Amino acid sequence: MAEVRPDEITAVLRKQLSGFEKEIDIYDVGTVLQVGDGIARLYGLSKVMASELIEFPNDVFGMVLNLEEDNVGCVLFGDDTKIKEGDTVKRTKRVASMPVGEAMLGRVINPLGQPIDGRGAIKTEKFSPLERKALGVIQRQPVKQPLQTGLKAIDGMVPIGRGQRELIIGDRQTGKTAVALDTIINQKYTHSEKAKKDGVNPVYCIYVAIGQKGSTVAQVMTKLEETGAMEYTAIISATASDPAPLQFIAPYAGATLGEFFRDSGRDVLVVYDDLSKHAAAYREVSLLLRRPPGREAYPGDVFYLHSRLLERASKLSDELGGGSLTALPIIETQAGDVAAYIPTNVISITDGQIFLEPNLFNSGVRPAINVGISVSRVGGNAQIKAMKKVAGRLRLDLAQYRELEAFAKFGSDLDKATQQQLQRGSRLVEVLKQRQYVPMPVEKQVIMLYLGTSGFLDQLPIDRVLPFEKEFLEIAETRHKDLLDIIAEKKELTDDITKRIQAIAKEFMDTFSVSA
Amino acid sequence: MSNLRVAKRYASALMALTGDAKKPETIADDLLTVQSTIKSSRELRSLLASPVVSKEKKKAVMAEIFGKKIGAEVNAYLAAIIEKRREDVLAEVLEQYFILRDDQLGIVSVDVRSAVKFSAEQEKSLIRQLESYTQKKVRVSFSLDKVLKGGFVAKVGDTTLDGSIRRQLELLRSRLKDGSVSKN
Repeated sequence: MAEVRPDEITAVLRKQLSGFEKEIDIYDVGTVLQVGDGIARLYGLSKVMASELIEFPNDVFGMVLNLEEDNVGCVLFGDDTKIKEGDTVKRTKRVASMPVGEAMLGRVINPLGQPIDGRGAIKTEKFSPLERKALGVIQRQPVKQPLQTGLKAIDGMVPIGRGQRELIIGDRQTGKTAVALDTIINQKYTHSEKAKKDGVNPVYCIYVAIGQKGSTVAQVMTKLEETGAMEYTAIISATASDPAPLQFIAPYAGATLGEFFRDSGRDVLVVYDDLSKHAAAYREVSLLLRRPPGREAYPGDVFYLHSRLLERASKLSDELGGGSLTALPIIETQAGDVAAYIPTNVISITDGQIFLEPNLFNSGVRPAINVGISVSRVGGNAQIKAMKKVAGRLRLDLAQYRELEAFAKFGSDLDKATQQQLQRGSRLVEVLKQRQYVPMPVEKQVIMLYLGTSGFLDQLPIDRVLPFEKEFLEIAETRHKDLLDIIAEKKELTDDITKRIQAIAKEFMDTFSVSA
Repeated sequence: MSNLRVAKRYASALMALTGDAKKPETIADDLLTVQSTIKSSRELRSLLASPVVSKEKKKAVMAEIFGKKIGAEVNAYLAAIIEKRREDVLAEVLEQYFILRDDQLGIVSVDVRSAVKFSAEQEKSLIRQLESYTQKKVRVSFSLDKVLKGGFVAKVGDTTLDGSIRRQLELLRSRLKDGSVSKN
């Protein structure tokens, strides 16, 4: 063992302590006039900037939100009981910001960038402001690469592109978080060698939990760790027990961390779970700061609150490295009321929405996506050619099925064509079902959707569709790996390929037992 | 808080009055007399704050106390402020007034707290330094504060110049805690 001599220690200490008396510390101060409910009003601090970080005693930090004639209104990021009237407050001379860096991946942090997973300090070199202006027109380019969610219903019907903002909306317990989690888990393949060969860039993920239960966040983390998704994922957590100001800045922290990856030319996915609670947290802060309430008691700038956040999602031009930031905001509706204030706002801001419905969920259609009213306004350009080909037919068939479904309920005599359409539709609904945490690679999705839309499954009883899918894909994986690879690489569905799929399906159908 | 806003408004009116007057210094002196009188007498303060006493009574009392000692302008101002039922903020108005006047004359007041009493020479040198730092005339009030352990703290407006041992120790502690102390 190496020995450390006492005089060495003394030398080091002396070095640190030298220069001790020389400096005079200059700082701006103010005093606390009033404190309570997570906000404080200050006197003094005349040069303070809006949204500047300020330091209270006992290591509590705050952010300036109101600059008024005779006082400064600010929100506290810590315990307000540790602060009392008359305390001195110091300026930090920097706007609210957080450390960003590679080292955040695999960690759980709070919106100020401090680790809360008990795994020690995070080494970062850069600080970035939480609020940043979104990019302008020149720096962007249209969305053109797909972000595969691994869910057939989404990748087929409401495709998401890298740099898009797609809203996930639905009542409680309809699987909103599940969709987002599956998407994160599915990005694992983008970090593989094979994806590199196929020309798919890795996607880094950030999960922002706003106002959720601590146990839910812990569950999410465990699931991501189990599936190996934590390696490329950071979790920013402001749980329901954190003060409202922390919940309010959490999504901005997510966007800031996302921009760090985007600006270095990489692709990022940021999930905001969920923005209804974010709006509620902002409402709380605003009302306490005595800003006038508007509709549903939200302040007047609640639209701007979300629009400036979601505008930060973007696909950069090639000159800037071509990175992208995809946003998946989540909104929880009350009893399916999408005409409430916050849902309508966010629907109008985003590039499309995925509707999840409790009726579908309860009748066993999971993911419970209502494909009729879910849309993606830009993702279509980003679909791979093979998927585009099968998805066009899928959309048409399902639309016709929905129209006829109502008639069929009467049970009257139906002509053959109608019956066939109903049969096709019900098989397609079955094909779109998928279990949680098992995202499907796009080449398998293409094959399944192709079989569905070209009528191969029409002969099967409905309850045999899913077993068929399972066994068929197993065969494809073990005996026809080259076919899957070709689709993944070429991203097209040529006649040769369709012929091969048909041949394999026919052969398999002979051995597959139709009854269980 | 709302009192502060009112006080500022009345103080700026008083400043305008001083600006128009022939002898601004006498008005300032008169106001200083009023301020110190109010500060020293608890009875006078409670009289001014009381809503029970009628306007006329208050005016009469003020006229009797100050009538001959101060000029006509300030007497009129006191009557006016009572007439408008704002006499309860009079002390704050005067405080704001002197802040505004210092601003106009280019004077900053500086609070200096030190652990050990300054010698006359040290005081002079500190004032010189502060004047070159602020580029204004300074009015310094010195006080002792043992908590600082050594050095001094000067408060110029919202800005604090902290050269105390206590602050140095605080900084050292946070440096040691952060681990930013390195071997080199």
